Order: sequence, then structure tokens, then C-alpha cells
Amino acid sequence: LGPFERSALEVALKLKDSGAVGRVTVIAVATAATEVLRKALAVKADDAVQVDADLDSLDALPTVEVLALALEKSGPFDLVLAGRQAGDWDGGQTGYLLAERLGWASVGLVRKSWVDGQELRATHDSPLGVEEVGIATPAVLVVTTDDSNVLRLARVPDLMMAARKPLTKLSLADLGVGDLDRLSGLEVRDVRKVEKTVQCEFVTGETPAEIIHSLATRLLAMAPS
Amino acid sequence: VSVVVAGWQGSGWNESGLARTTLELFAIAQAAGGSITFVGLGGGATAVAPEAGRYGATEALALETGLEAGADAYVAVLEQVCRDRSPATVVLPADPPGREVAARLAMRLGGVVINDVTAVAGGDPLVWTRPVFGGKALADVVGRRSPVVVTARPRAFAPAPAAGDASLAVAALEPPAVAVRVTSKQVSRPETQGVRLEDAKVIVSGGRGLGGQELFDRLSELAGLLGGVVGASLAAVDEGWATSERQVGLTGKVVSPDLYIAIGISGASQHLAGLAAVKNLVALNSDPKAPIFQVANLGAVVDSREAVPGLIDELRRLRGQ
Repeated sequence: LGPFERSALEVALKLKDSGAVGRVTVIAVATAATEVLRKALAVKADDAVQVDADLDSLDALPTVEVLALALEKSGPFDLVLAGRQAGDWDGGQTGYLLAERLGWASVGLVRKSWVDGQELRATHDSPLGVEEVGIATPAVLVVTTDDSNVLRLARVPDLMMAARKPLTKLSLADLGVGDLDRLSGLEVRDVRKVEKTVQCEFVTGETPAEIIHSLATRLLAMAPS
Repeated sequence: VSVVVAGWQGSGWNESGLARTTLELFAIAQAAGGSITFVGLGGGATAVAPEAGRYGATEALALETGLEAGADAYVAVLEQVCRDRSPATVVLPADPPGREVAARLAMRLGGVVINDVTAVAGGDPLVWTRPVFGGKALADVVGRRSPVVVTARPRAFAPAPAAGDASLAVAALEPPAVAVRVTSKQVSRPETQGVRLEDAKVIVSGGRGLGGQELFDRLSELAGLLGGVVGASLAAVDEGWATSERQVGLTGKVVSPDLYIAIGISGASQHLAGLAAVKNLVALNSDPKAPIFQVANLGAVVDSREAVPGLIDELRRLRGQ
């Protein structure tokens, strides 16, 4: 699980702990997702669904369409928790695109979520600061990492139990997805490593005190007045 | 061909007019080519919108109130603006609402979103560059649908120079007819002492190499002497020396200060992903082989237990305090 997916899962599990949600289902789109899904089951997610396809790319639209169809097939659901961005392509758009595709509300950069009375609440980053919001479900919450949503550790008996739990596998054909290229929105023309352009200049001196003196002088010159 | 540039209350402008980030969006719009429409959303929009004329806009639209539905409202207003003008490109800031609005708007219009762009090459089609893999690589991408909605990484583009006339007529937009699905209950400012990490010009960041809470806490003195604020690596947050509000990195804040001083930070890619456009990166580390020296432009191999108190004393002396 990526860092943001771990946080999203913890937010879901806390909602379940409080009795606010009944079941937590984890859905992954990847051919190599089995182990990741087992880890989610080991921390007490109830169900795991694997869409057996590799759509790994900067272009989120095919993934979003596949996720929407998988949700429709496995649901109904009231709430989707998605990570802020993938650890590789850093696209940062899947959750919001999914909300729009489903016609649901979305809340960005969520840290915590709970239910107050009948209303779903969340704290999230807004330009004005950390904002608490009330949310009309169904909704997609795009989760960012926070001290409050560090994923719990699995207990050993739960790890063993998770290894025996069934996974639901769906193929693209099961979801009625034919032409993936038709879903594509982006063409990646080139990916290149960032070339190192800076050369580090080392501050030297006969004694540590000399180094510190030179450093302090340089830092003062660099700091905007 | 037309381009829509949008800004909103909170990041798009301040007391002195359109914010630097908005001028950067105009630079992108000029590079994209075509007639530019500026859309200002939220309190103060009508007053700043005429200024858009100085940066190449030929149309200015504003909506001050009726935006209680938040991102849903922004998307609805921009959807209408775009349906009437069919822009090839929509340029939005990469701040928290920006990513949400960009993705939803693109999906609603049948277009495509590209986040965090750092460069654009003109022509047909436009080729957009953005960092990927935590900033270790750059990808060139082309939209296969229209419009292409981009969010721009702050400080990646030079602000558009002022050229035209600042007295563009402003047309008022209609408030959108959307249900409020997300209601604001309260806003609390984070614990920062004034300046947010994202806006800081100087950041002094500490990592595991500091060895303990006591030395980490002294970073605020050092930062104060340089007019900066304190940041932290994930390791320092994991140690409990700083809250995650202070964390710079892939899972924390993405910062772009003029001066970033990394003390006792090895320079893992997770941390470097949070350094977007740092002008001067200074690294202090006891390990001469630490990867942070690969990206720093000034470095010193020092023991932070000596360097932190030493620098505080020396800076005090140099500043005559």
C-alpha cells in the first residue's frame, strides 16, 4: 500500500470502529495487488476486490472508469476514500475524477473523518487553514497523511486469517471494458531523469569554528532581508 | 483559440492586487496562445479583475458571492464559462481547491487534467512538462481531449510581465444554481507562527541527525535569526520532535523558499519530493556521502550538535544582537 492509501484505509477503519459505517471494502486495480489486498484484510477490512488489469500510467481516466464500474458491480457504496496521489506518477487526480464520474461530492486533503449525529464530518486542508466540513453522502474523500491516520498494525492471528479470506477478482471483460485506448486522455511523449545541474560547494576551514563562521556569513547573505 | 485563467479568494489576490501565483498562470496562458479570459471567484474579485488586462487578458469575469457550495460552485461557474467559450486550455493554481476543481471541471467538460505543470512548449498540440516519481523524473505529456485543464506548480514559471492596460471592463457572473453538498463548520489556523511553510522565504529543516528533541527545538532560534520558519523531515516527525504540520516531503508540504537549510537530513527522495523550486539549498550533515549533498548548492560536513548552537551564536554576533 502506498503512504496515502494507508491513511485512507485507516480513516475508513476508524469510521467502522465507531459504528458509523458497516463494511469496509478495499478495491485495487492491478495484476499484482493480491498481497496488498491481503494486508488490508489483515487490518480488518471486510472485503477485497481486485480488478485484474495494469493501467499504471499518468493518465488517470482509464483507471477512473474501471474503478467506477467496479464500484457499481461490488456496491452499492456510500463513501469512497482515496489516497491523495500515487507514489509513482504523483498524478493527484483519481479521487476527484471518480467523484465527478459518479456525480458524488468530493472533499480534498482530508485528515480525519467521523460521524456527528447523522452527518458525515471531516477535517481537511483549505486555503484558509484546517477546515471542518459536513458532507452530504455519497461522497469521495481524498485523504492525506496525518498523525491521526497512521495505519494500525495487523495482529498475527488476523494475518493468518487474512491469508485464507477470499478475494473477489474482476477482469476488464467482467466490467464490460473493451477498448482501453478509447478511455485514454493523455499521451506520454517522454519521461526522462532529472539531470543534476548543481555542484555542491563545500564550506571548509581549519576548525569547526571557522566553518561555522563562514557558514553564518554565507547564510546571512543568502537570506532575503 | 482561447484560454481561461482562474483565480480565487485566498490565493488569487491580496491587498496589493493579483498574487504572484496568478501572474504565473498568465505566463502559461500567454505561452499557450490565444485570447485570454480571466475568471475571479470570491470576495475582492471585482476589484482586482481589471488588472488582468495588464497580463494579456481581453476579458475579465468576476463573481463575489453565491459560492457557498465551494468546489462544486467553482466547477459550475467555470463549466458555464467554458461551455460558452470552448477554450483549448484552462489554467488553474495547484493549491488545495485547484486540484479538485481542475479534475472535476475536466471530467465534466470531457477534457483532461494535467497537474503540477512546470513547463509548456508552444505549438499544436501543446506539450506539457510535469515532475513525476517524486521529482526524480520529468514527463512530457499531450492532452488527447479538449480542454486541457492544467494546474501550475507555484514558482515554476516567471510571472507574466505587465504590458497591457489595467482598466479592463469586468462582467459580473451569475451565481451557480448548485446544491450545497459540503458545508463549512469552522476553520482553525494551524499552529504555525505566522508564515505557512508553503509561503516561507526561508526554511530551516531538521532531520534524524539532530539526535533529539532538545537540539530540534533550537532550530526555531536559528530560523528566527534568518527570518524563516522551521520544517522537519519525516524521520523527525516519526521521532516525535515535530508535528506533521511541519513535515516537508512527498507525504508533507511541498515548499519553494529562497533559502532551504537542511540540517541532519540525509536527503531521501521522499524528502526531496517536497522541495519544488528552492533557490538556495544548504545542507549540513556529518556524513560527507549523504545524498542531500547531491542536490545542495552549499554544504558543510559538520556535527549538528556543534553546528546548531554555533550558528545561533555566530549569527547573533554578526547581526549585533
